[in-house]
Amino acid sequence: MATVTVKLTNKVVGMSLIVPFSHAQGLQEYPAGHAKSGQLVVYRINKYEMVVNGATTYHVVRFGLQNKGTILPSRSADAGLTVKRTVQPSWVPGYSPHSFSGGPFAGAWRILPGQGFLIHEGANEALGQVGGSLGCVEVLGGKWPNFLNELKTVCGVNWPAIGAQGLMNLTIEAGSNPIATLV
Amino acid sequence: MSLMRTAILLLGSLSLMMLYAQQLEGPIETRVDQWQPVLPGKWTVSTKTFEAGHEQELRAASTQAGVSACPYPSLLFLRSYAPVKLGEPGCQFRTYRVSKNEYHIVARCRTLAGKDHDETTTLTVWNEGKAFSSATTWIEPKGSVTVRTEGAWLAACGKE
Repeated sequence: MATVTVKLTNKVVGMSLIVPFSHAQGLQEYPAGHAKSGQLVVYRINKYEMVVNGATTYHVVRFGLQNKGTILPSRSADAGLTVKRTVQPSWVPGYSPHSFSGGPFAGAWRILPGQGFLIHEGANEALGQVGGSLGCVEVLGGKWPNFLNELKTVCGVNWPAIGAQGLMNLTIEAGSNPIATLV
Repeated sequence: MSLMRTAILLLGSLSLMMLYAQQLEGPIETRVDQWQPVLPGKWTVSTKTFEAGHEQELRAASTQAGVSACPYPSLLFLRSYAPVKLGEPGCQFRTYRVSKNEYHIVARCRTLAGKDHDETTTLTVWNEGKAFSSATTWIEPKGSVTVRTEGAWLAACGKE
């Protein structure tokens, strides 16, 4: 049994596409009568590097946009963790935003006790997916299974045990809300 | 004679299925900002919605000129047509290129209510990406619903 270090950096490694989201309205779509009626409202936003044990890098979205019904050419991200901290995330079994029907990699990591910020599976851009984001850390590009498998391999125990025993040390670098640009 | 005809039909069907399977070699990449099945630009789009078993349209047909497919025309097709609110992950699309001009798109979307919603689309493109027709089908409790869409390219993307 060993600990694992995960570093969520503020290093921008490219751009990703996201859609504003709210728990009441869901993903934002262009309204009836608009030239893009029915299409998703898509913004381009920074994606960041997350590093496991100083070696393996993953690309993640860490800032999101709330769906407030407005459509602006650009807007500042208004969801996400900006303060520097080190925490031991807990395992949330069964959480399955993208691995439909509770696949073998369903689950997530709760970053702060009692709060909704998670590390979970993000959009697989190769499959045309553009997800909403409300400030969770979302592992992109279909690499979620790789990330989970690496944690298990390094720690030598399964994910619930990693969470229960506090084996993951997650360091979050401070970051400011980036500007998202409408596409 | 009848037996032979059946055998010929079966063999023919099998050949077609094998040909189809050969063509469906896994989903192609459909990155929103890279996949361009049709030209970006302004389009005239006509839509008709049908319910299974009814030839009459479920909703009045609509034609909209100036529909924007700028800058990413993929968003015309990488979407959900059903009147459902989408949850945070949205949809994954498994897209198969059946022939030079035809795609099959299988969409699996997570609704805001937390259920999975599936749609299938057949998309045919012609006139060098300046025209398309598509048919998208999904299942509702009362039966299947199909949206037929015709698109004709009008103009290139301008300054948005």
